[in-house]
Amino acid sequence: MNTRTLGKILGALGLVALLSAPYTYFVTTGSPWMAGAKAGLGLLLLGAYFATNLGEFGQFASRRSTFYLASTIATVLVVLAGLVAVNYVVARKGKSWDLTTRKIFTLAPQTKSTLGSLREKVRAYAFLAPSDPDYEQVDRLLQRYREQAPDKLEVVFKDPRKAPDLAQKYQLREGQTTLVLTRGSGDQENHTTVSVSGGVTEQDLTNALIKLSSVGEQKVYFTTGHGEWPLEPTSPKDPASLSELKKTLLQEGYVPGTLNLADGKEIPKDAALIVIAGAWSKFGKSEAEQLAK
Amino acid sequence: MRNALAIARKELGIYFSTPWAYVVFTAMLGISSFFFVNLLATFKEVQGLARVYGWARLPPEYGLFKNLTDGIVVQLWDVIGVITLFVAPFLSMRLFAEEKRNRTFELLMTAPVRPWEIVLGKYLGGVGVIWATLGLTIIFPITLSLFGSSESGTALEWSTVALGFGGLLLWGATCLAVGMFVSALTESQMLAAFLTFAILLPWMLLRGLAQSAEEPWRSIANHLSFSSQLSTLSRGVLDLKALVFFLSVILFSLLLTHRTVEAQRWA
Repeated sequence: MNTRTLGKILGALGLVALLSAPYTYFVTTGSPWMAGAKAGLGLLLLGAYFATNLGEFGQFASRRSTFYLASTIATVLVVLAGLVAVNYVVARKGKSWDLTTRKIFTLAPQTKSTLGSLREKVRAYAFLAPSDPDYEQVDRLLQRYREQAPDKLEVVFKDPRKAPDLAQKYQLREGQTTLVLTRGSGDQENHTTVSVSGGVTEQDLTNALIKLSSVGEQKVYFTTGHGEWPLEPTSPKDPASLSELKKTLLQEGYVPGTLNLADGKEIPKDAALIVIAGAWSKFGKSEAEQLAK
Repeated sequence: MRNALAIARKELGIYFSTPWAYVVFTAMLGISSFFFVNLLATFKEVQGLARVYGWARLPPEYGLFKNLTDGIVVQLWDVIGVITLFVAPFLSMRLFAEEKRNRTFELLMTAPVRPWEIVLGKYLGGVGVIWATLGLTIIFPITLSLFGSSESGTALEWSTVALGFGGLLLWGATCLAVGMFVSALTESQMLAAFLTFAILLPWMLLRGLAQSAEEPWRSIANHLSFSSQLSTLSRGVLDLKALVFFLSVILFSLLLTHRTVEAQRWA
């Protein structure tokens, strides 16, 4: 075996090592060092190929072929850029046709109208490990939703073991496979969950979207003026408040607010619930009449 | 174009006059028959379980086996897609590498044909053989259609079957385009086959990488993954982005092959 042939074999092995390095990181070991070492070894072996087969490449670099080489690189780059652009446009705006007899890959009209009526962007966190048996089904379903409303739905897959903070934020148990739909951000973030065990149906997901869309419209009023617990601490010295309950209500999609019924004020029409939390003094006659309505 | 077709005919003649094509045909039919019989046995077993316990009490993944199309044909197309990955490099490896090894490449370059005609002709010849190889597998759905039955009437959902088969042909043409480019780079046929496989395998498995990646890499890797694009077609969804993706890879590979062949004139 001559040096050039040996170089070609080493180059082939190097190419395999280089191309499989991302798999070492993302799929198998998860170690960046291992993946880096593999990629480095791949580059080294490819270097050995180029070093031992320099003669072949020398032809390209010769004066006669310099112009050809430059024009080839330019053509390849231009065509590649064009193809990337076409693929990008088609991926964003492309059409698909469900040829199955029962149209099993077509979203129901109700789902389409629900997605169309979303007023703000919804983020779907799928807490599923890639090895989960339901991963494929959930991925396909969410993909169909995203294709229907690319600007209104964002899909994020999270391995619960690799994102414990996020799993804790949404109060997920260890190993719980769940789909969390959120909208808004910070204190204004609302969320709803869908259990994934055994897969998710279109009906479950659309109902969850409808539920998430309707949250924020229901208001919960806490009465004030009778020594009730405040929604937020009134002073650093007196931290007692309903702030945790307020936070939970916000997460569940309700809008908490205060209500003072003194001076003959009426109960707002948008009130879904009135809470009297720890009143110390009696309600006046007009207030009691309002509450009795 | 006439020259390209003449070269394609010559290539097809070479393929069919050597035992190589028949070995590939036999291997394809033999391996896919093995999987077909296995899928058929699993289908019968699950149907039997469903008759005893009812579909509701069976695991959700058994739902695939409610009909012959999803239970056998769709899964068979997926398997044949993987077999193609192994077969295509052996069909594409000789396209240019053999000419270089036999020193007939220079002769071809002095012939009054343009490089793009050579590339297109050889590609069409190769595609003809790989399509003939894949075409043999249509016997499986035809068999099911003849001897199978279903409550809804026809045994198979032919629109899904045909789209999946079309996807397979497109996949075969893509593998061959990549393989031909690699074949144009070297005079060693085995090296060409090995490199083609080394390029196509990780490319096909890019989907596994996508599952562990964060957005936007997840979407990008999913789009670039052959298996993601192929599975959309094999399940009965005619997706424009899958068609554009496969055609883009073919076009780009043909361009690279053309530039590699043309480079011989300038070297």
